[in-house]
Amino acid sequence: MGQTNPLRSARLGSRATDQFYEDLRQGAREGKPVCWILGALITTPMVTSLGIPWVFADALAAHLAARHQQKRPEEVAEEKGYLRETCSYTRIHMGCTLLSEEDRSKVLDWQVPNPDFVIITDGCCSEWVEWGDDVRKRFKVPIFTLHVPFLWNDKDRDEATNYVVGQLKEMNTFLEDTTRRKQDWIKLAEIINMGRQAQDMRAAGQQLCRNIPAPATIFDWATALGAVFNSWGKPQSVEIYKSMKQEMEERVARKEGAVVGEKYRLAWDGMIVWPEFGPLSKKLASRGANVVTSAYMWGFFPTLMDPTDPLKSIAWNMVDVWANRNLDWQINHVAQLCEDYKVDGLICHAHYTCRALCGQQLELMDAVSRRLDIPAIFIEADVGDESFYSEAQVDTRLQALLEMIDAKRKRRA
Amino acid sequence: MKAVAGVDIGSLTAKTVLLDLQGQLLSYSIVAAGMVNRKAARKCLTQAIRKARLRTSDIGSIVSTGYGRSLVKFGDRNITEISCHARGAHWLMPHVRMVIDIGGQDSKVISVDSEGRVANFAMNDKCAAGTGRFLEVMSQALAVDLAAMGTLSLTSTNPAQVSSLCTVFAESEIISLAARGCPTVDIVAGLHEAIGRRVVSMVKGVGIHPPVMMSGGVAKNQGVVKVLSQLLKTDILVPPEPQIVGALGAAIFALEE
Ligand code: SF4
Repeated sequence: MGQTNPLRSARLGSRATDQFYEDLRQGAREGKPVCWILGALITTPMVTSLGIPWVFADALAAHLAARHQQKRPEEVAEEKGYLRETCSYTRIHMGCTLLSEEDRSKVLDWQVPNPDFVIITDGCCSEWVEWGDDVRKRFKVPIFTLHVPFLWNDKDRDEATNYVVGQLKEMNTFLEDTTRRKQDWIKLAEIINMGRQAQDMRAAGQQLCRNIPAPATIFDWATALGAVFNSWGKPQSVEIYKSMKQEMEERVARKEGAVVGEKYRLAWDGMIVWPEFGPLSKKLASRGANVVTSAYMWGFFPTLMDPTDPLKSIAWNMVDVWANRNLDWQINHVAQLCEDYKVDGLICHAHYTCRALCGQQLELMDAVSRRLDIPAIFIEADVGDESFYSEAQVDTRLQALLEMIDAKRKRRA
Repeated sequence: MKAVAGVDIGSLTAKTVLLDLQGQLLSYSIVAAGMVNRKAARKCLTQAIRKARLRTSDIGSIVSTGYGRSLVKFGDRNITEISCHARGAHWLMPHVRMVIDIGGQDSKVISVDSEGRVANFAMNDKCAAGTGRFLEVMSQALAVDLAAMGTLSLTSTNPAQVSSLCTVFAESEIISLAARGCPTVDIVAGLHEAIGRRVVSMVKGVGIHPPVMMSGGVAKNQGVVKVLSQLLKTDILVPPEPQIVGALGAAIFALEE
């Protein structure tokens, strides 16, 4: 019935991604210290401004999983003792660093440079701390751990932000001592400013998805995600979102949807099933289903970016990020997205090896479904480990969701 | 056109139901599929047609359902077993508001509205824990006839504690129970209780809505039905042939086509 109509501009970033990893390797070859970031992406500007190459571990793992290059690293991680239940991002990333020469040529053609130091944040997920401890022991490198308090109430936001700002100052001292470089505060302000411009473009593009048919799906946003993560604060990230926004505007004017024959509008909770990214988007589109909104997909983008106060901007965006908020806040947030984007049903992806982001999913699903009277389903899968994916199970659940939407429409008619 | 058909291709069996154009049951057939395959689907349909003394050309619309629903190339449309069990249950007992379907390799809890449409549902994850296949493996391990397990467990006064529903772990657990001298009836009753607890957690996820019907092959097991009735504190209704509820629902959809 329907079919995918992907945004061309969402793919613009693939060259930027390749360039990013090339720069990383080049930096390592030149003898620059390499930073691994296990935690919040928003810490990267402070490393970029020092001119130090970094790897955001989750993004690399997702990047490999989306290209089906994750299997061997996962196996290697298991062979080295990582349990199958360990976060698959951890297994993929660590597996990559532990690949033999022979495996490496089959999987990646390049090696993830070992870390010279590591930045960890503990907000939203405790895995990063344990993972970081493993990295510290394995590579014997210095680590800076930044504690991000959970934001139970709005009234605690300023106190929590100031607390994190204090730690960011300590982190800067750590960075300067470890790299023997001086922080370039002007550059940092420029990066924050660029981040704000990218965010403004992205937010404007996001709003366009309220149109029926929606000019983009979360799969388009996901396609651009890696590149935007890796080019955070660089002009490319603004360019990618600007081009996406422009293409979406053209589509809106032509009433052209990202799913040809859009019949159902869905929301997605949880992360992407990266190894099944393509088949899932096609499967949904073939039934006329367009996933038009997702808290996760848009959740990492800063709401407050003030170039005159970079540390506060960074702190604020660790504290106030969607995954660091309590269940009531998340329910209100997802329900609001579903209303704003005129959603017919909700898909909750329960990721088998990432409990951090799906611990409260059942309550969230029930509450949103009841409040808006929309059907909701779970699909059990994983962010990176495709052995947790059962196509028949997912098919049945997705089809049943659409049948429930049809039944509800008939009832209303 | 004299009839419509619903074909349910499950993981262990294929089922077909034929309805006449007034919605009356003409015939049904159940074929052990071994594994999901097209041949079993065709064979099952042919059997039902023969039983109803019809010809293939008499069949108008065909709707397929079940795990193998997309394999049924001779079908006009496929619909999930979730919608089909809800519709079939409603046709059999219109007052039913919840269906517990435990089939060969999965189990589902479906809440049904007054029109026989799905209001909500929960499914087990991709592991076959606590399903028909699980009972089959346990019956082999205990050397007890599968069909006799239900009545056998009714005589137990002291069900054994079976903590795992993983087919592999439960098998070793019951072997060690037997080695410790635990009577077979108590082990079987313990297995049924383990299944019951698992289903109850799914029911609680959806919210209990009596009257409750049980469908699928495991509904023929009186031991499981009794445990579920006790745990849910409500009667469990079981139709005369619980295995064909999904195929029946598919046939009703075919009639509506
Ligand atoms: S457990 Fe989840 S949130 Fe934590 S690192 Fe893994 S994927 Fe990310």
